Amino acid sequence: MPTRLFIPALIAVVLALSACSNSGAETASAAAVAPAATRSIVDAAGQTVRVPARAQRVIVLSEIDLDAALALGVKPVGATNGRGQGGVPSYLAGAAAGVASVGSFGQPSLDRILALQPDLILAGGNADPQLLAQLAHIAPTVVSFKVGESWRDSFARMAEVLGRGDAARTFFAEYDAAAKQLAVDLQGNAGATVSIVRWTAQGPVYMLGDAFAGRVLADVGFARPKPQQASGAGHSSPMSREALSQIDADWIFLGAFKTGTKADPAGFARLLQEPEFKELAAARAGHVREVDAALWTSVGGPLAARQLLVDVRAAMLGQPS
Amino acid sequence: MPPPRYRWPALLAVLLALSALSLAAGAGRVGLAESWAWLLGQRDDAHVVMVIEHLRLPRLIAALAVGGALGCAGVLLQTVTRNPLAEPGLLGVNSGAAFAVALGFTLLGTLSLAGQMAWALAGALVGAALVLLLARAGETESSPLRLILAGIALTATCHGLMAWLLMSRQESLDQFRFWSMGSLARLTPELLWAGMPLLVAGFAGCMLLLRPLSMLTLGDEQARGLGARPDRIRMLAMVCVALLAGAAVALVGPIAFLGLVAPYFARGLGAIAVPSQLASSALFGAALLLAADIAARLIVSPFEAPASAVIALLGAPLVIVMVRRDALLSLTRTGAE
Repeated sequence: MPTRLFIPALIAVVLALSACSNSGAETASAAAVAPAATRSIVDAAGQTVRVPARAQRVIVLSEIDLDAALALGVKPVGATNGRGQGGVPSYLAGAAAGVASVGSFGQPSLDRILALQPDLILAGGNADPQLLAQLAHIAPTVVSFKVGESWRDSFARMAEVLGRGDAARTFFAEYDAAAKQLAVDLQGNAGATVSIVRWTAQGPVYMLGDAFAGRVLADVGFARPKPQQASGAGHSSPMSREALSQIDADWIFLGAFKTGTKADPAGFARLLQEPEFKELAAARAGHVREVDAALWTSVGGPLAARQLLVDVRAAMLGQPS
Repeated sequence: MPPPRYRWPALLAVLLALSALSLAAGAGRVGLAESWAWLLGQRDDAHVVMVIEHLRLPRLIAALAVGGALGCAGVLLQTVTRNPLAEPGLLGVNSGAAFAVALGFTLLGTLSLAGQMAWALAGALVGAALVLLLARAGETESSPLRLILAGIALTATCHGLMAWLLMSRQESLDQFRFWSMGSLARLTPELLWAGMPLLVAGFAGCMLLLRPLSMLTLGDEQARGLGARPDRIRMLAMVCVALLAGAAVALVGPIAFLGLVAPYFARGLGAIAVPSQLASSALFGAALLLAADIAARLIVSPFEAPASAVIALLGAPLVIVMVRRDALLSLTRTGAE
């Protein structure tokens, strides 16, 4: 291309592209105005949002939103985390089959969201005002949880947003009954201390007191080792392997991420043979279990909570629920 | 600064003191008294024996070996490229390793410690090989500048691909960030022994290259006149750097700065000839990594701080002091200075 034609050509291309995106935005706002009945709700960020009375085309931007929506019987039309990258947590893969990907977590693709014509967007705990403003142009957008909040509170709020209060009440009743039943069945293990740990390249980290899995375990009546009762929803710094006694407990659940079907992807079998590990009471008692980190050491959700009870039952009673 | 003849004994004494401290210091209930008893041959308390022999001793050996390796690799690379700012990471070793580990986490979901090391090592060696090939492509002789540019290009490429991989999968990022901070806490004795042959090969290569490298510092023309083949010497030196730095990043993760800073200290101490630069840089690297590792276990005990961050914190002020003494800007500091 001759140089003097290049700049005009570039301008033409840019103009053509911007024209495309303009027309896209118009159809979206047209779609967003359409819904028949709306309600006003207050989201986790304290904003009042008008949402459809019963949203039909929901897009979820975090895994706790996906978990909660599925638990309420609402199958989203789109969710973040590309399936090709194994994004949807494996414990939800079955229930979320057919849900379209709208990009990676924290960086949803606005184009794909637009194309799915949602009538409601659950933006997770994302408080990026710029992204929220862009999403609000597409459909009513709700910040669905506060970081560090109990999954119960988040779930209750999402049920209200989606207009499915009944389903949430049913879920809570079933979950509480399952937790209670588990506590009864445990007998010897009732009230045991349970340690939740991830093994990293820099050493073990443990989950802090307000982390998701700890709250679920508390529902069954388990206590955590003292260091793991410290406040905070995340995990500790990597620990020294000399101080491993601080993660000791009656039971240890070791979280590992996996995508394939490999039984022990993190090589825990080998780890358990290390002398510093063999000193632990839980290891001597054979009470160390490998669990799915996406479930146990992440933000969680109602379906994850239910699955944790199943995992605990399998570990301590050696039986499915 | 002490007079020259005291420098070697002083350096060795510091290293010895740090080694002893490294056996005595840690998060567990094993303190000075227990460590001393162990040194004197007491083996009554199984826990003390386990902590010292299984946890602290491998860490000590790893710090000495890896610190020494990075110190040597730094001198080799700076000598060969005639660039006092060259550091082993430039050869694409660290970025290759980081990309490979990120790829491993993404493809497999998670990796065992041994798996992380294998991926890191493969990535480091492939990265170094690519840089060396790029630097030679289409030319009979590889020039130092081409090498540096090839290293920068590969680093940028790996970094971009890695960022893309990690952004697309939260779980990979979550695991990768722990790997990406270099730390000696990750080592188990078996993994340390598995990495040793590479380090030994790298050190042996250094020894063999002592004379050829000394010739190279005279300039290519002079070196040819003495019967050396500069291009081949450079290539062999690079292979040594790849082995040393590749094994280092596989064993303890990326440790930036050490390979850059140790040769400076060596020259600042007055080491001029290549053999003495290599030796004192290796000792310095070992001492610095050891000190960083001890600090890493103590400052946030019972948790572990990343040794790579401590190195940066310890090393930067030292470099500033040396720059102010004007001790390090020339590579060889021959007669005139």
